[in-house]
Amino acid sequence: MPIHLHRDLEHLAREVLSLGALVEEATNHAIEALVHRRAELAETVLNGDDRIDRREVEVEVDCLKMLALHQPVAADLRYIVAVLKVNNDLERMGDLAVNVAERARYLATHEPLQVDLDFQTMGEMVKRMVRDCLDALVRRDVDAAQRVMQDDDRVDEINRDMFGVLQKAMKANPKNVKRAVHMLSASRHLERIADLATNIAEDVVFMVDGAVVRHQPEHYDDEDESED
Amino acid sequence: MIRPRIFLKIFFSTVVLMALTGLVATWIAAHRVRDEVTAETREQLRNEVEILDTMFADAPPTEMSAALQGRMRALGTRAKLRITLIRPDGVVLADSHKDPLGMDNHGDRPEVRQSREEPYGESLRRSDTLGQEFMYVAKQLGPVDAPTMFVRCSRPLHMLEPRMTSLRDTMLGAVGVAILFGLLGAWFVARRVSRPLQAVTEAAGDLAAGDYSRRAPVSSNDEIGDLGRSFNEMAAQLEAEVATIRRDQRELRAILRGMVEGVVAVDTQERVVLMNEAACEILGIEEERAAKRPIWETIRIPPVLAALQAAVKKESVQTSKVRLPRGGTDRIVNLHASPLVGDGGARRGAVIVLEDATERERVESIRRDFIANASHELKTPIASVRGMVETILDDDAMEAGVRQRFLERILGQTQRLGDIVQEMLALSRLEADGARVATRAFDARGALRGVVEDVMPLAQEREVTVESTIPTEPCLVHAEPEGLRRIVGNLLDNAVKYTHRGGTVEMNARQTGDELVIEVSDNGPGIPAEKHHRIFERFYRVDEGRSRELGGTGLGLAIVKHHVQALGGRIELESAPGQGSTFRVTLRTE
Repeated sequence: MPIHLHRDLEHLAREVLSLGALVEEATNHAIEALVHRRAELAETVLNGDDRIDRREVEVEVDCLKMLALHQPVAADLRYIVAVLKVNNDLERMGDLAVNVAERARYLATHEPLQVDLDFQTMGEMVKRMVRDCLDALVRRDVDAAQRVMQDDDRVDEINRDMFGVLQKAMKANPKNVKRAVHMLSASRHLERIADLATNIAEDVVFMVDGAVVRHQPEHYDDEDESED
Repeated sequence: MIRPRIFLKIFFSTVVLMALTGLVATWIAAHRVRDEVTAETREQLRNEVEILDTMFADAPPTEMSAALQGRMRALGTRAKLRITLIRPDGVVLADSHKDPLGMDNHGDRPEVRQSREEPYGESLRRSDTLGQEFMYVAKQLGPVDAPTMFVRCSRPLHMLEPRMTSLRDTMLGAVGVAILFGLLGAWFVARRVSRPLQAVTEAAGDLAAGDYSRRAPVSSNDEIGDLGRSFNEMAAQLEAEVATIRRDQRELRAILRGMVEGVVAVDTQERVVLMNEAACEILGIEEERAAKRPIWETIRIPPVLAALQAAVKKESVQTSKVRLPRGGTDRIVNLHASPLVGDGGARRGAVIVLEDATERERVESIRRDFIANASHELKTPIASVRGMVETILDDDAMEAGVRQRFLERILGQTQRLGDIVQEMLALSRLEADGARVATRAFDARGALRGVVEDVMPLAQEREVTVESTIPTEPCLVHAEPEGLRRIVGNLLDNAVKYTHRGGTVEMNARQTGDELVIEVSDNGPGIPAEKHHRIFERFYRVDEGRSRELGGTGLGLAIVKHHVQALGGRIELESAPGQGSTFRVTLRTE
C-alpha cells in the first residue's frame, strides 16, 4: 500500500503542477495583455479558463480518492490537505486572471489613459509571486514561500497607490472614469492574485513544517513595518 | 582487516589438519602395538602351557593337595605367571595366585570351553580385582573326548601400558611441534597472501572513489601477482574509457552549448537529463534548477509540456509553434519533440528541440508588409492617374481649365510615384552597398545649417517653430555629407510634419568624446512604446491616414536607419504618447 500511496502522491503532485502551469500561463498572459495592451492575448486567457476549471475538479477528485483509499497520516495527510487548498486557490487565481484579461481587453481596445501607473512593476511582481509560490510547492521550498509573503506587502502598497492616482484622474476628467474604473478593478484583481499566491505559500509552509503561519502576529508585524 | 582473518583461517586449518593426522596415526600405531603385545604374550603363554602339559601329561592330579598348590605357587612366582589347574568337571585343583578352595567352578570360562574343541583356548579379559587386562590361554590334557585336566596360564598385558604411554607422549610432542610450525607457516603464508591482496583492495577502493590513475603494486609471479596485473590492466582500460566518456561528454556539452536551438532531453519519468543554455534562455529558467527534476516542476509552459508528454507516451514526433508572450511581443518558438529510442527499441524518453523563430517570423512579416505596402503605395497614385486620364480621354468637350487642373494633379501623382520609386531605389542601393559608403571627416556644422534652412519653408507653412543649437566650435564627424544631410533632413521633415500647428521642433548637435550626438525632438503626439521598434520598418506608419495625408512615403525613417547604419552610428528613440518624440543619432568623429 505505501507504494501505491507514493505513486498516487507523485501523480497528484504532477496534476496540481499542471493546473499550476495553466494558471501561471493565464496570469502571465493576462498581465502581458494588461501591460502591453494586447487584446488578442487577453482573448486566449478568456478561452483557457474552462481547462483550468476542469483540471481543478480532477485534482479535487484525486485528493478525495486518496484520502478515502489510503487514509494517510502525518506528512502525507498534510500534503494532501495542502494540495486541496492550493487547488482551490489556483482555480480562484485562474478566475481572477480571466477578470484581469477582461479589463485588459477593454483597456486595449480604448484610448490609453494618460496616468502615472506602474502596472509594469506590479505585473512583474505578481508574475514572480505566482512563479515563486509554484516553485515553493514543487520543491517544498520554505524560502521561496517566505519570499512570496514578503512580496505580497509590496503589491498591496502598489495597489493602494494606484487607488489614489486613479481617484485623482477621475476627479480631473469625467471622461476618464470608465477606463479608470477598469484599471482600478484590474489592479484590485492583481492584488487578489498576489493574496492567493501568498495563501499557497502559507500552505506550503504548513505542508513542510506542519506549522500554521496564517494569522500569525509576526506576519502582521512585518506588514506594519513595511507600512511605516 | 583482511590480515588477521586470513591468518586465522590458514592457522586453524593447518592445526586441525595436523591434529587429525596425528590422531589417525596414533590410533593406527596403538592398534599395531596392541596386536604385537597380544601376539607376543600369546606365544609365551602357549609355550608355558605346553611345558605344564608335559609336566602333567603322565599323571594328572585329580584332587587338590597342598603340595600341588605349593608347587604351582612357586612356579607362578618365579615365572611371573598365573597358573591354574582345572579338573575336567571345572573344579580348580590348584592356582598359583589364589586359594583354590575359594574359587568357583571354572568349567564355563571361555578359554576352557574353547580348549575343549581347539588345541588352545584363549581369552582376553579385564580382571576386576587387579584392574588390568589379562590374557588367558588354556589347554586340554588327555584325549579329546576324555579330558584328564585343563591347564590354564595367564599373564597381564603388562608390556602394553608403558608402550602406549611412550607412544602417546611421542605423538603429543609431534602434534605440539606441528602446531608451532603451523603457526609460523600460517603467519608467513598470511603475510605473503594478504599483503598484496590488501594492496589490491586499497587500489580498488581508490579506483572506486574516482582515482582512475591508481595502480596496484605487483611483486610476485603467482596467482596474486596475476590478480594485481589483471587489476592494473582493468584500471588502465577503465581510465581510458572514462577519459573517452568524459571527452565525449565535454564535446557533446560544447556542441550543445554552441547550438542556437534549445535542446531538452527527458527520460521516461520526464526527468530532465540534459538541457543546454539556449533552452534555458528560451524557456526562461536556470539550468541547475531543472537538472534531474521532473520537467513539469521547472518548465510550466503547457504547450511545451504537452508536446513532450505526447512524445514520451505515444512515441510520435510532435511539431508545433508556441508563442511565448514577453514584453509586448511574442517570442515565437518552433518546437520539435521526438521520442528517444534506445538499443533494441526500448523507450528512453524524449528530446525536444526549441528553435527561436522570432527573428525569422519578424523578417518574414516585414517582407510581407513591405510587399503589401509597396503595392498599395504604388497602386493608389496609379489608380488616380488612370482615373483622370480616362476622364480626359472620354470627355472630348472638356473645358481647358478643368483639363489643366486634371493634368496638374496627374503631374502631382506621378511626382509622388517618382518620389516613392526614388526612395525605394535609394534604400535598395543602401542595402546593396551600404558598407562601401565613402566616408571622410568633415565639419558637420555647414551641413546641419543647410538642412535647417531647407526645412524652414515647410515649417513656416505649418506654423511650427524650428530651433537649432549648433556649437560654435567645429563639429567633426566621420561620415558622408550627403548621408548626414539625408539623416538630419528626414528627421527634421518628419518632426515638422507630425507636430501640431504652433508646435516646436528642436535640433541640437553636440560633441561628446569621440562621438557627435544629434538630437531632433518635437512636442507632437508621441509614439507608443510598443511601436518604437517598428517605426524604422519600411512603409510602417504609426497612424496610417494621417501620414499619407501629410504626403509621407513611409520610407523616410527606414532610409535614416540605413544611412546611420552605413555610417557605423546608432539611432535611438525616446517617446511616449503625449510626450513628444526625440530621435538621437550618434555618429563617430573619426
